[in-house]
Amino acid sequence: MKNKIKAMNTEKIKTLEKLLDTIEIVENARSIDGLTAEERVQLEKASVSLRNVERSIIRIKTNELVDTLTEDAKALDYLADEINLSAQKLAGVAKAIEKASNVVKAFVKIAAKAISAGLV
Amino acid sequence: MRKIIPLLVLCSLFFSCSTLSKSQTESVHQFGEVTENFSAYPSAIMNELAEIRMKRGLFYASTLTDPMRQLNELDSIHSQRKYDYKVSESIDVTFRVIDKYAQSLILLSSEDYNDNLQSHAATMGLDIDSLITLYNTTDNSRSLPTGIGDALGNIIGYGGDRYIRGKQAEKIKDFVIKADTLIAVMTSNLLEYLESSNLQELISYEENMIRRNYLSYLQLTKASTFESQRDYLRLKQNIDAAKELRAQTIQATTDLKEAHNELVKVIQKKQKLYRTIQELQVFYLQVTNLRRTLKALNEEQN
Repeated sequence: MKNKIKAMNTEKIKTLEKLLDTIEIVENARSIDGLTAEERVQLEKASVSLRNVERSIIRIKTNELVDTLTEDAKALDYLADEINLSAQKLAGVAKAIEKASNVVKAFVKIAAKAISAGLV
Repeated sequence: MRKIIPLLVLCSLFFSCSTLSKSQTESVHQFGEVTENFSAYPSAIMNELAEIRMKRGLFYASTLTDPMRQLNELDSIHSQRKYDYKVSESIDVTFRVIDKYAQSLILLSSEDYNDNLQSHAATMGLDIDSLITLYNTTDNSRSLPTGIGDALGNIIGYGGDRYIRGKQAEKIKDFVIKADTLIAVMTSNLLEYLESSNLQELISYEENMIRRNYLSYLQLTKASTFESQRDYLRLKQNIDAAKELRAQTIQATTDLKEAHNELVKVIQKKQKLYRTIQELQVFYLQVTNLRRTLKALNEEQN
């Protein structure tokens, strides 16, 4: 059993489904009553090896999944930056009116002071 | 002044030709609001699987009799969990760009620009009137008519409003049309990921392993406690939630694609919208379902 597990690697076990079958066999064997201490140790080692294989396959599968998500996000990211820039420019129009309004306000203050001082 | 007023009116008429109706701009705004947290959904599936993998791993680790093997197994579980969350983060980053696009649309289609403009133009009008009143208090042979500042403020407000709406419409049309192809590509990629046999296999494997590991736990530790039974049932609920999240995200992604496509059609028409965009409503309902599922999951984990 141990040698069989050693021979297994992530390339040979193509799917998690096949791995599950093997795990079932080993786990059922571990729960058999009357095993010798040595048999129990070997089965436990085999079981742990299978869990390591499991993790390797899961990593391969998740990596493959992430690879399906391509670089297209960059183009949309660039467009979103452009939109933000345009939004800032629009806000600039209201800002320009505000500035003009402030200039008139300041002029009114100056004129009011000049009138009260009898300069005009 | 006599020359400026017709010029402003002409400018406003020119810009009014290219504006979007309020309902069209609102549709763009609504689309942005529904879409702005979309990236949370694809990565939530991977996070859920990571949690399940760790918890069912604990059942398994308890079955190991050798302390060193048990410790190594726990270390491996921890390392796998870190890896799973890293993958989940990379998925999240990829789709966060859809959130960013949606947030940009919210900003661009905002009514704030016009509200600010109207308020500043009104203040400016009042200040001009104050100036005229001041002028009339001086010893001048000819008094100037008052109330002109208010009229000027209105014209500036109106002209500025048309200008901003014109520019806003021009930019919204330009960007939404450009983004449609990109949204189509990104949603197709996401659908490919969500519907892939790899993801289905990962979910199905976790579902089987919850049962398998708990059985090993029961057989080898002979320690069936109320807590372990409750943990087992929670794991089963979690896998159901992961399956539901996947199905809902597939539907929401399809709806997102359709809603954006419909948005492009709507903003290209020179007419008012007399109904809300149906595709947008469907998308909104789907996102509401997703939010509910995620909220339930978060509440359960806390």
